[in-house]
Amino acid sequence: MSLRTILGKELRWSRHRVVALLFVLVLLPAAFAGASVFFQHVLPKDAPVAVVAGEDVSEEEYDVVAASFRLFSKPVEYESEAAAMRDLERESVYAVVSVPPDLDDPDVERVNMTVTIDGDVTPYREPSGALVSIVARTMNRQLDTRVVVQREVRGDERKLSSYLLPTFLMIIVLTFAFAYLPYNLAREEAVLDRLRVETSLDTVIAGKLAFFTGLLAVPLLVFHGVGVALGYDVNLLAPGAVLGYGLTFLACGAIATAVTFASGFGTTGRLFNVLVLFAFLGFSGLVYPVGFFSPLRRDIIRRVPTHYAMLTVRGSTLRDIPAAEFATWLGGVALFALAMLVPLKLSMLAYERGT
Amino acid sequence: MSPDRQALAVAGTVALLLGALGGGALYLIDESEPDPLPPYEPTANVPSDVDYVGTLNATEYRSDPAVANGTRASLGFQSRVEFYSGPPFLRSLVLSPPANANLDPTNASHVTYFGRSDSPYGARLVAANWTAEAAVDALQERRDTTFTRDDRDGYTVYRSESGPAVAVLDDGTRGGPVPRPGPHLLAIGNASAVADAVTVAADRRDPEAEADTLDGELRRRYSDTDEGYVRFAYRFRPETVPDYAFVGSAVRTVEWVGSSYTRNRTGAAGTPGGTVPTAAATTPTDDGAPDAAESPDIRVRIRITVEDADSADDVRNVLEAGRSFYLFQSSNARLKAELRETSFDVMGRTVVADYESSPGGLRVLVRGLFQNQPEAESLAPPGREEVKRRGHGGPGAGGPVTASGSAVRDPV
Repeated sequence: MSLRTILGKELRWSRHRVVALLFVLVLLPAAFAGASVFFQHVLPKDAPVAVVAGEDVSEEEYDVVAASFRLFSKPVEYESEAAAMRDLERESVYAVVSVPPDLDDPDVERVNMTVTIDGDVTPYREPSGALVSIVARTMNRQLDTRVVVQREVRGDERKLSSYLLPTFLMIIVLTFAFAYLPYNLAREEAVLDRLRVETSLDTVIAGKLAFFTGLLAVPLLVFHGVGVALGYDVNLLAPGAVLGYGLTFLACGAIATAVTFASGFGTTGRLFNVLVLFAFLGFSGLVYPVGFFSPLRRDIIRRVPTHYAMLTVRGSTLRDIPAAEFATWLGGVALFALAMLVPLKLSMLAYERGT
Repeated sequence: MSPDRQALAVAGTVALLLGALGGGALYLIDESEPDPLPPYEPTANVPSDVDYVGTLNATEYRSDPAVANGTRASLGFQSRVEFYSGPPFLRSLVLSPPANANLDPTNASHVTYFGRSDSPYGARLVAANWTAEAAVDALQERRDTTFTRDDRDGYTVYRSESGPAVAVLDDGTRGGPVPRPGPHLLAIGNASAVADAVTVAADRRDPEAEADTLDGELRRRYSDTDEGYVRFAYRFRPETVPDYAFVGSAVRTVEWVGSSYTRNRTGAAGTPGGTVPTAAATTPTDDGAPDAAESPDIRVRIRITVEDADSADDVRNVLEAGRSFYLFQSSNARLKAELRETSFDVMGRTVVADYESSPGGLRVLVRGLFQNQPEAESLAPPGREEVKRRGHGGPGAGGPVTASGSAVRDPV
């Protein structure tokens, strides 16, 4: 068989797989190329920063401090330092700035301003140093009063390797949901029809999702063991983390299963699941603070439920914050998982009618 | 007479009456109003391929000395920003003729500026009751040079050995670019720019030719500015922006800048924010005269077009930071009120900065706004004495304003 014949055969066969090829060669590249618009900066230019204005701080004092930060951050006004610190722990803000009340006092020649960051948010630590330096220089050049800007790190300065451990596990969970689960479903397509004789498809899928969620205990234990062995101060078995990972898998597993049924267990469905996986990986804010790359990406991340699952996991594993503190976010992720059961059910109904 | 005939008679009478009234009105209109003159189009004779264009309605500018002084000072600060590349307003024959010039600047009604950045290419189109000879004499006084008369495309052109030229685009007879008998339209400036203006004027007069007049993005940016007595737009040159920490890259995304000055009579009655006028309101103007109490406010609108909406946000933040610092430092109640009214809005990829002030306060407002910007890395911080000297109710810090200024590029 000549090379020309083989090439001709490939071309003819490609016609039968035109949908999958269009997906791989057109949709996927277009999605990746389009996603590039969400990455505009290499520094956290748009990360939210809490600016605490106490009762004795004037509006102009607040404005001038907020303006100094607005050039490279997104200042958010807080009235109490306690609320700001709580949001710092929850990564709703990445620094807390207290406006000095005597900034516009002509009799005061020097004021101190403190910028507090969380030592556990490793990717923000170095950029925050540059931020503080720029703010100090800007304020001292513009104001008569000498402003000493001090950076205070709350807690220990965590190493990047330790910081990334919960993140890597979240990546495993998402990959498990969007890659392995659809693969497993596709392999068992024929078996599903036989099982439907004895029980409902709902029960079969519910059982599969429950089983795979339980299987997550294995990588969880592996990660935890490795973390302990390497001396990382990370508690991956914290209830908040377990709930965060579990609910994330249920929600994403429901989406992946829905796509699998909707595509008739086809290759297109699996490829689409890969695309969704990339979307969740890119827009859950798994590693970098929101606002690190662009305000557009920040606004999208803040609307993705798995982002809050990641924050819950980090808060529970790195800072030992009780799960109850994240009840609202966990509830939101649970609601998201429940909502994803609707398209799953619809796709299963469509599949049942078609077979 | 039957009812039908009665109705017919009444309708006929009414129709006759209406016809007579209409005919009379047409006759009267035809007798009393000649053909309406097309308005003077200041940019019609501007050649294409220029980097800036600006127009000055000199009549409106001069109508109130306080407005003229405030505008001049404000334009001065605006044009001294290091990366300003717009028209060099401040030293034209209309605004500052030589002391011994034999021409009356008050006879000029419109001036149009055009040219290229960082190049001697540039000229002004002056609509004025001036003769070309008077303008040439004034230039000879200023430049110590001699002019020779020439002809180009049917237009009289005066050329000098040292560069400047004067062309008569309209000799004051109706039918030229200026649609009224009397005013001349003179092109004064760099010989090459004047020659281009003559070519455009000649092509506009020739029905067979297509004039290569101002077009494209610059014309659109100029048209986007408000109708004002000062309007200008220019192509921004990012390479002139100094190295600002963090914000330099945002400022370098600026592509076009447009600006307009309008008089707002409604703003003259009270101060923005309802505050009581204080020292700034009675600050002597450049010529030492206090502001006229009835002078209208001046509204300055600057339109800054950048690469994208995200950069527009950054540029707005830079401007807002300047305002916050100025507001914080100032102790002048009226100025503070005006600063609070200042707005910086983002519309797509354009930042629209709006400020309004009394003529006397405008220079203080604009100077502070332009000075209180983030410091360029390349500029040394101002010394304490310099800071105090700048005083504007409260001292400001250094900003992207050079000491020398860049407004004076071509003293023609």
